[in-house]
Amino acid sequence: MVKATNTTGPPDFIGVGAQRSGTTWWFRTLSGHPEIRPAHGRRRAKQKELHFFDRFGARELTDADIAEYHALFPRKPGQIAGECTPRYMRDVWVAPLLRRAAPDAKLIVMLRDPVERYRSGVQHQLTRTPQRLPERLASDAVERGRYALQLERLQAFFPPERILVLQYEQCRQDAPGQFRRTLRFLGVDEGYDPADLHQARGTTTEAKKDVLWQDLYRALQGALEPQVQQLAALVPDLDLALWPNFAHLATGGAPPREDPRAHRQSPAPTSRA
Amino acid sequence: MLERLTARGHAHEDDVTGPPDFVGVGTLNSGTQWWHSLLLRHPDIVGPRDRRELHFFEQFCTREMTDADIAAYHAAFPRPRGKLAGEWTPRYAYDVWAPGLLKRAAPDAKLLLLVSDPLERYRDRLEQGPEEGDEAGDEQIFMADASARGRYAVQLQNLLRSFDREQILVLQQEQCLRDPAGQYVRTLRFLGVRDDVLPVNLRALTGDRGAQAYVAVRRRLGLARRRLRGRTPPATIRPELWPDIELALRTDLESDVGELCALVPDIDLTLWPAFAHLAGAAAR
Repeated sequence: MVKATNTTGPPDFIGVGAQRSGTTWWFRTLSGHPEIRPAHGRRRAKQKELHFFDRFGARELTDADIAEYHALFPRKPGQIAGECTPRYMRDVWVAPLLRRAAPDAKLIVMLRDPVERYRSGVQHQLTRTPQRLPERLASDAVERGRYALQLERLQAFFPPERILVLQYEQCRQDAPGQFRRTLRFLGVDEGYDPADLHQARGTTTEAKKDVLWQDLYRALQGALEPQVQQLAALVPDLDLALWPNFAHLATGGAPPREDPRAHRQSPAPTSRA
Repeated sequence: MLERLTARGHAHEDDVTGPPDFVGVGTLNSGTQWWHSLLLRHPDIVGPRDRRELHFFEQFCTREMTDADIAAYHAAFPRPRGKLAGEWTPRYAYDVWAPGLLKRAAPDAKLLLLVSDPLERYRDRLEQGPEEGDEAGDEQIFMADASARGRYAVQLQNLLRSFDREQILVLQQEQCLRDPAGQYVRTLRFLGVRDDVLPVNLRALTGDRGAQAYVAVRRRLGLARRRLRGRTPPATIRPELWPDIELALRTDLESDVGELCALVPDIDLTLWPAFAHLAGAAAR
């Protein structure tokens, strides 16, 4: 039961993506802030990902649905409430629904090198475990990396000052600075200093770094490069030098011909016969 | 004088195999099976041995394609000497890894890309529901797929990273329905086969009559498939798009449709009512 002192209503902020880009780390750390209240899910009290809008590609969102959504965000006076579902950015139907259900919400986007995102998202799964429809998973993972398209979609329904685009690699490099930037964007006390900020969590950090073979690597890199170029124009403070598969866009060199990770493999273990 | 064509018999022992001469690469729900079946009624065109959609390159998101795989692909296209062979798998243009592999396996193949009004495509998907074998968790990928696969310029660009523009013929379903004979002849000329033969059923079904017959056939097939799967038949009226989804799709697709028209000037936008207003802009 929600306590009487709590009020519910539309969320004040929504993390919308991208999957495997550090959103769990960032959201959990934000949730420790005394002025920030994570969503109260149907399954458990603190829920990062509500996946509330997933189903509305197949049917209309009603006012009753919106009321149900609002009820998931209890907060005390002086607190702001939010959730973070990485799929929202990818699904074409979500942006106008967010505007209907939470017209004043601030959106947080966290982006990571899209080829690394693909690698982290599906490569290990696809090559090690038999999948029923692997091509669907793989192409879904490619679509999730079309950041410029997704950002433009959000910008069509939300003003730019209410969309914060963070770069995962910058957050890893300068966690306190990017965290303060996020708090400032949300309008809460910037003095909050989480003890475990550097302790990245979530699936992003799992050490599965499978090498992409050349055909696949070139296809992914080539398909996503125009999107990265477009993104750099949309987000001027994006630091392309931090994205190993697209750093040449910053330095003016040629695109990598093969997966840079192919050379970073530790030598094969010697046999102990 | 037009000849009456009949379906081709079984493959012969003296057939030759090799890379396909043409490959249909897209797009889902745009009438690719219809168009491919019409091509297969041409006396100089044969399909692959076992099935029309080989779905061959999909597996190579899980492992690397080898020379043995390429040989296996070639072996799927037996044909009498001098005839053209080809398949049509609507995913190839969509999966980003497929065109590069197709270029390796069939470098000289001519590609066919059949597109249709992307909003109508989304309605088709709504009507059909998830495909056989879909799990609940796949449903959102399914609808997200439905919108992403309506972005044709992205798919054409995907092809253009590996193939020359002259190697690709883009057909518009609505034009094929309106003038099947004309578009059929255009397809035959692109493939380089004689164009003085037309399937009987194609000659009979021209203009609106053809379009209506085609839609009716598709609808009956869809109903039958759903019954086979034990699903409730869909409502008698095709689902309409509601305002939010229409707004979302239009916003998402407008720039892609604009880009498609720049790449394929003979796309007739007046046949896609939701995007007809872009027709002037594309011409400018």
